[in-house]
Amino acid sequence: MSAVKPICGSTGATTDDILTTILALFGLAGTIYGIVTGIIEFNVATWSFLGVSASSVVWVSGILSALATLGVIGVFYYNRCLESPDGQNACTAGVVNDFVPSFDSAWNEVFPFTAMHNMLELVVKCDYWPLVELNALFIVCNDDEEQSPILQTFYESSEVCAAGLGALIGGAVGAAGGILLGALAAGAIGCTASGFLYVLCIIAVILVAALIAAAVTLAGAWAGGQIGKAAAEDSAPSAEDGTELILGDYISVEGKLITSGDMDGARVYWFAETTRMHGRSLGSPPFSHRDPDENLTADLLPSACQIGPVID
Amino acid sequence: MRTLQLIARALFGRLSICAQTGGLIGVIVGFFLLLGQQLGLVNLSLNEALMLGLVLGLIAWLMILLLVGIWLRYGVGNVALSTLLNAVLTGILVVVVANQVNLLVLTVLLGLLIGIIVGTILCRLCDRSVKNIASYERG
Repeated sequence: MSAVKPICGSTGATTDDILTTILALFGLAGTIYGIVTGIIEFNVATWSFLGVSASSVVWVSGILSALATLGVIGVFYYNRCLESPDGQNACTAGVVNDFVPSFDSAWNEVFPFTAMHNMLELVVKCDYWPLVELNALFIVCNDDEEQSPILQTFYESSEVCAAGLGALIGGAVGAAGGILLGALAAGAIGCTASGFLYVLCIIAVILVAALIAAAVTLAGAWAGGQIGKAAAEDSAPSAEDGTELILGDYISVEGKLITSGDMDGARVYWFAETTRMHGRSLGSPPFSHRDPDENLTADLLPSACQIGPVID
Repeated sequence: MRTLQLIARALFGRLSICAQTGGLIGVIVGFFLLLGQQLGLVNLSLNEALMLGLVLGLIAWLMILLLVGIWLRYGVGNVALSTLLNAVLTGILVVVVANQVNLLVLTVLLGLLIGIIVGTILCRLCDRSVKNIASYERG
């Protein structure tokens, strides 16, 4: 079976699931706060807690900022590890073109909750192009001359999930301290200037409380995330027989294909469940689909892939 | 979280990423402005509103760079210029309009709506300029 090559790039309006959820979280929280304080005719007063006294607005700034930061960490953790999106069980085969490990950048060490699961780029045989294209908002293609379609294949990483959970717990602990520290610092600022400097001073008071609360929450998230990561086992992608996968391996993958709002709406494996090795290419990346088309013949593939790419 | 995600998709799922970013900028500016209003920053002069809008817009921009550029992996360099324009315009408009309306209940909501509108318009203008350049190059 051969198929028409999908057109690379965006096939429609792409959105970002995490950004959408964060917008809703911030928008709803802010709007509800505005409406509630408007209805109850919120009066500014001095609130004291654990010996720290500051304006109620300063406390609110710190509390909502810390909660918003925690909310963002929670959205990432949910997206990475708890969400179980609807998908299609499928088997595809091709050649491993690239490997992107979890915690692949320094930023992931600083903000461990943002780390993504281990990912393989699989240049699939042309038989499987319909699966790359079906329900996709974006087609990812390789850098080879023919721009061969790629299926991004994610392998669930226990390190990523442990770091996410650790960041959430550490962030919650940090939030409590951050709110207090923020209120303490902001409460120490006195605004006696006039004109626009007074306006700036008021905004500075609010921002100091918010930024310190958010920063200490993130510091807690860093510590908790690193502890979680250290406690988890490393889980690099491997074949069914335990062989670690490397570039150029011919593999077949069974797992759930979803349209990922986190990957521009491309179809991705979330997650790969069974990976089988079927040899190794003599070529080097970037691979063309012609390589597995010619060398990874149907008789080498498991029955799930042979009887047609789609299981159900 | 599942419920929040469903609400998010229903309300904002069809917006472009620039519109969503604009909305987020508007909410951040609106929130800090609301707190300022609660501390007495109401009936600002136009000059004060413009300058405060610029300041809050720049602060929101820094937050967006962290969230979108680093955490969501779009790359700081890739989004810096477009989000700066979005943030400055949204920040100024939100503060000026909210200062005129002077209804604290609506400040954050106004921010959200203005941000979405600014983001959507910028996205369309950007698309148009790309097409114009493309047609110019084709000659």
